[in-house]
Amino acid sequence: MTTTILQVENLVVEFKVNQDRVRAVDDVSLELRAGELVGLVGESGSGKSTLAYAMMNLLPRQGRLVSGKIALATVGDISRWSEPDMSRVRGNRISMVFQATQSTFNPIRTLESQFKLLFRAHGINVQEGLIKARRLLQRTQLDPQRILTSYPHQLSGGMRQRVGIVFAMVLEPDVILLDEPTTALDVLSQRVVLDLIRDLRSQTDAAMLFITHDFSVVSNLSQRIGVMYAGKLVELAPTERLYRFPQHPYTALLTRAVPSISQKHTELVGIPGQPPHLSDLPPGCRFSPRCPYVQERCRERTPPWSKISADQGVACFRWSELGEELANV
Amino acid sequence: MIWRRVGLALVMIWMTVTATFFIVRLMPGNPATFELHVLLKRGVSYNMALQHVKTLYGINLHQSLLVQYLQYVGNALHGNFGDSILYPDIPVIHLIGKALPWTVFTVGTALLTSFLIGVSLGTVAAYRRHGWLDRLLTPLAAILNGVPNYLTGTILLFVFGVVLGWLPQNGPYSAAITPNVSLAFLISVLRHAILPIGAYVISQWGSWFLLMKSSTVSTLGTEFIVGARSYGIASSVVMREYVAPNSMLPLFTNLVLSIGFMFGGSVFVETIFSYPGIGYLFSSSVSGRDYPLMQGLFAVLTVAVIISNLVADLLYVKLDPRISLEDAA
Repeated sequence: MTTTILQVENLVVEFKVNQDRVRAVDDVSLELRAGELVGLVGESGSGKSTLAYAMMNLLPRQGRLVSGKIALATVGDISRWSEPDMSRVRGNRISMVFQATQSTFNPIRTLESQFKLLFRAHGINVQEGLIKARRLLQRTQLDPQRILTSYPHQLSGGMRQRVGIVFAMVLEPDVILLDEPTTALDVLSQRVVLDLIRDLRSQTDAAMLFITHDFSVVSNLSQRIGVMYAGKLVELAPTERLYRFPQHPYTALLTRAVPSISQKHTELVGIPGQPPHLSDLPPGCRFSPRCPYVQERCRERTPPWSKISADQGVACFRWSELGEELANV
Repeated sequence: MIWRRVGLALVMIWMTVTATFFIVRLMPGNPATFELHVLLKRGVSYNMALQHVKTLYGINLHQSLLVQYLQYVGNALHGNFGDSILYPDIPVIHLIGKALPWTVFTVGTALLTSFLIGVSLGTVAAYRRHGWLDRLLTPLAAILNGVPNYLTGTILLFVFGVVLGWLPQNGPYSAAITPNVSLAFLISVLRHAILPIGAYVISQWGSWFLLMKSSTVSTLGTEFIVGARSYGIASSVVMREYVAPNSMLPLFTNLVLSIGFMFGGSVFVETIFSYPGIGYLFSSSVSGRDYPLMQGLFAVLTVAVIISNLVADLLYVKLDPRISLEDAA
């Protein structure tokens, strides 16, 4: 068993929305191990991106980390760290790749000067850093010289995203959070970026958290997959197990709602109903209004997290009795 | 590309110079008839008066407007705008040359001061939005921005010049001092410049403040600021390298353009303080029907505005890599 690099415990994030407080992430626990890629899947608004922003301490002004722990093996719990302290671990201990809709680069500086700024911020010799950056850029099939002398707007979205990944990796952080890194890209660029992530994953000890709304994007890359629903982590399991033997009704229905190349003539099944609005959550299990297996207790109490094994867990009262049924949905 | 832009500027200068020549002549009344009426009122006979006026101004009534225009343009190319009528026998260009430094000194200092005040306070207000400083300065800036500089000038003159008597009321320096390179002269010049500069600054800083605040607020909301923080760039560096340059970009155009407009804006303030700059010269040339002087001043004004436009365009291309000269033209 490999070492745990990041331990997220009982994380709660609240947002202030017109006087109201809304829990975007509610009591989520998750651990990442060295060299592992964990997929985090959920619909929009399920809190998966908020979880990543909270882990980076980059929540927007309205957001607040209410409680919980974010412990890095190397430096300890960073959940209460101040901004100056955080800026010392961001980038070189824990880093993030953003959705490519907007560039995360300064539009009026060349990429070389932005790399230099990154190295200086972490007290790294600029020349040595640039050598490493060039090597990584080469691995991404980009011409380092051209990239470094370019301004962000001179690159395509796919190129920018690959440079963004290099930025997040060049300081060899322990944890890399990838927030929908391929969502805004065309299919070909998606492919290139996914190949790059796969290639880099095999060569680094860093733990990666790949956030996406699309099972098919992450299932070929991940060792484990977590499923989020309305701010809660509802299931976490090794990828293969999650597909074959889902323990949570939502997971079962969600995986069956994704088209698959291998199973040709299966009919796609949607999940009836809409996910609840975070300011108007149902009592008890949040999936209960849409759940075909719902019981009285599901509507009254929130199901606790049941640890099935070291790398599997589920938040459902009926997981043990439903297991077989769900595998055949 | 750059030559096209320069050529365009030259054509614009020619057009305004031409328009000025004809528009000035459309104004009712002229210095000759004015003088004529003065003489007639004194009881001089009409023919005698006409003869007198002709010799006084050396007017050749046989020249057509077109010939006058061609002569004017030809001379203007050599920097010769003729002799002043109001100040007989002094070349217009000398009058302008003597007035220009005073205006450049006062208006230039005021522009720089209000820019610096506005930009720094605007940044603070944007960073601490809804803080006490923001709540105090934003309405104040909006109000002062709407108060014209002749009103603030009059109030300043009344309060500090008349009631308190702390500062001189008019002129560029004390009449008791002969201009030379001495500390006494320098102090006198500064003391005389304080009130005019104050009048400009009070009515100008607000617009820089409001512009900078809104520009900074929108920059702070951009993805690349979050990006920079996610790479571990310290807040102070983010502000210096990311927020400030990007927020100041749109203000920069305004700054360069204001240099062109500063002569026009000086008319009221310099008249109030009898400050011998371009604005003062302007108002006296208009009230005295001094065509050559007016034409010369208009030409200087036009050239200043058009050249500052040109400089703004060319510099912006240097400052913002996303803009090319094709866009600017």
